[in-house]
Amino acid sequence: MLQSTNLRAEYGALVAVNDVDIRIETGEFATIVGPSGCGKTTLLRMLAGHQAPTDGRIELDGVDITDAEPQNRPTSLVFQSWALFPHMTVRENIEFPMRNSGLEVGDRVEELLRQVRLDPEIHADKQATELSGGQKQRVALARSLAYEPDILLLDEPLASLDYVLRKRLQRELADLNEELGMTFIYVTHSLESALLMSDKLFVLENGNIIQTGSPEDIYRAPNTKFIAEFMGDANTFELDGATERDGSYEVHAAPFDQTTTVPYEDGRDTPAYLVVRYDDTAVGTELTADLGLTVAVENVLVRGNTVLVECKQPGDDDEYVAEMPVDAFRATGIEKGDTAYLQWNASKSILVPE
Amino acid sequence: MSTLQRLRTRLGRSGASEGGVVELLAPPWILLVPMSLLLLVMFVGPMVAIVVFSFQTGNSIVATPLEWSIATYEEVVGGVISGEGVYGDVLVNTVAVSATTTALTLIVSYPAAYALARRIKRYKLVFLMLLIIPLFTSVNIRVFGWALFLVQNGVLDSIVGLFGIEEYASLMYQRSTIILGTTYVYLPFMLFPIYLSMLSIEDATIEAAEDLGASSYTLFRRILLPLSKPGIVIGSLFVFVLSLGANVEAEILGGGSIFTIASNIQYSFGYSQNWPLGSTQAVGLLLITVVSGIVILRTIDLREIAERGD
Repeated sequence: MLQSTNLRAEYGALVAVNDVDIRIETGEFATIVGPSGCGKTTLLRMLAGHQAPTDGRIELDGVDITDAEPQNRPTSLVFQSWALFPHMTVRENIEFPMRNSGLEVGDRVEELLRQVRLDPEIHADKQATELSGGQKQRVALARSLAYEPDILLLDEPLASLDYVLRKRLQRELADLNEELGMTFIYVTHSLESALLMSDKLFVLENGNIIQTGSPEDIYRAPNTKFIAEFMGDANTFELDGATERDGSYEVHAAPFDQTTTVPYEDGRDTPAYLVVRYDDTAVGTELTADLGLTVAVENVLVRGNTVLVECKQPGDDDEYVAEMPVDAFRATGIEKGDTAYLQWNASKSILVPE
Repeated sequence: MSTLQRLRTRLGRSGASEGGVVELLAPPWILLVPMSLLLLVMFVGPMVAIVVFSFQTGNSIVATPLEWSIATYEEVVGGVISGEGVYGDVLVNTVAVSATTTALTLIVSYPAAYALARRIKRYKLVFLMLLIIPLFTSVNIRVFGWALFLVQNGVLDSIVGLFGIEEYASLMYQRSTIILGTTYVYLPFMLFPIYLSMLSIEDATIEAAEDLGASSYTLFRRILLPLSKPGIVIGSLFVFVLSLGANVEAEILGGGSIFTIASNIQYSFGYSQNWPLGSTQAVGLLLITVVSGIVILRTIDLREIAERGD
């Protein structure tokens, strides 16, 4: 189990990581997710030992490793730039950590290459600089695994790869985590990666962990408006009335001018916003769902098999979007410039505190 | 005027200049003509003259009809082989000075280059400026300064005298004094290539090595050293070749008692007015330079460096 207590990093007056407490169980796939500049890379670098914390403790299975050199911690970092040794072959790169820690080389290089789905016959003796991006990523992973760390740290290693390759490698990473039983800590700004691979998510904003939980929990009950919007494109309505009633809240917002009852988890601040995701929202000529508002259709964007319908209320700058299947949208007969109802069912509403 | 009109006018204008002056200057090799002329007149011509003179018997081609002879080669090469005359000593001096200078500058520069490129953040610019500023001063001035410092009854003498040491061997006019001079003068030529190659190593590469359990020694031997090797090789080439031709240092700090090829060439052309002999030695120096340059460059794969830049 990896645990940090009041972990803090400051650059002069800037607090990059603000008293962070995290707890990651052995074998877990944990993801630290947040926008650029939220302190996630700093946090990871402190876990790897490349940066000394200003304050706080890091413990691994009860042993304090806060001040341990990177050489002496059982962690290995897969860098965003992969950081392969350019003057070495693939084989030499992978043997490097094994020789450092006195591990038997034997057939391990071939074994590791196969594990990251590279053909050793073809790639083992290539120069590191001759590889493509995806191959470099795989070799970097194999090299880190060759170190046999307890914890594998990954700093957005998939960020610069194309969409298809990224998708595939995400799946492979999740499989590998399962197969090896090794703890993976992945840092990313991409929600898509975070949801797909992780057992546990830490959402970081301005150096603070603002929510921890399984991807499903966080998706269903985001702690703040920021997380709700970060977890998926959503329409947000500021509430102008919220009354508690048996574990639910009866809320009202000016744009849709209706009162609705939404379940709300106990122990949080009074809800301040109602959030509904784009793909839970539709447009129609009649109001057929539970909640809705009259809007003017500003723009229609076709996105593969769905359309994004961008709408505004007359005299208001807030933009609302409905994402619906192309066929369903065509069936309504609505076109750009028309007036329509933007609507959704009450059960799709999510309440979040400020 | 609309953008489209302007574009049309410009297109029309460029069409009109076909066959004009612009067209004449267009092939890129034209741009190389001035430099090529300069090289031809200032380098190739004199080189040919030197080679021609080395096979002559007198100092003038014009006055005496061409008279080919290998007498000077017999003298120099024979001298080196038999050990008679000064040529053997001169060759040993020259190679010893260059090799020692290269080794010393490397030993001094490598840690400094590492510190400047990878460790020191504050005052780094000040350090670099201190290293560059001496290059703006003439070598003569710096070397004469050394002479004033080292000569008997000079600055060093009076400092040492303060500690009660009266009698000590003169530091001037020795091979080691020349080496001290060349080491100082050519230090930047070693330092900067190594500094640049250190600078081009990515932080993540070093961190990855640390992360994968590399000890300081492993980090140095398997990561830093190979990745800074191009700088070492280029720096060694600069310093070795420049020291081979070091004339002022040998002249002033060697004081006429220690000769290197460069100072001996000057002696032959100047004091003894034997141009063919000077030319022969110049050809010899050129051959040594070319051969050592090839040997040094052979130790690195230039293509590998080019690829690493990708």
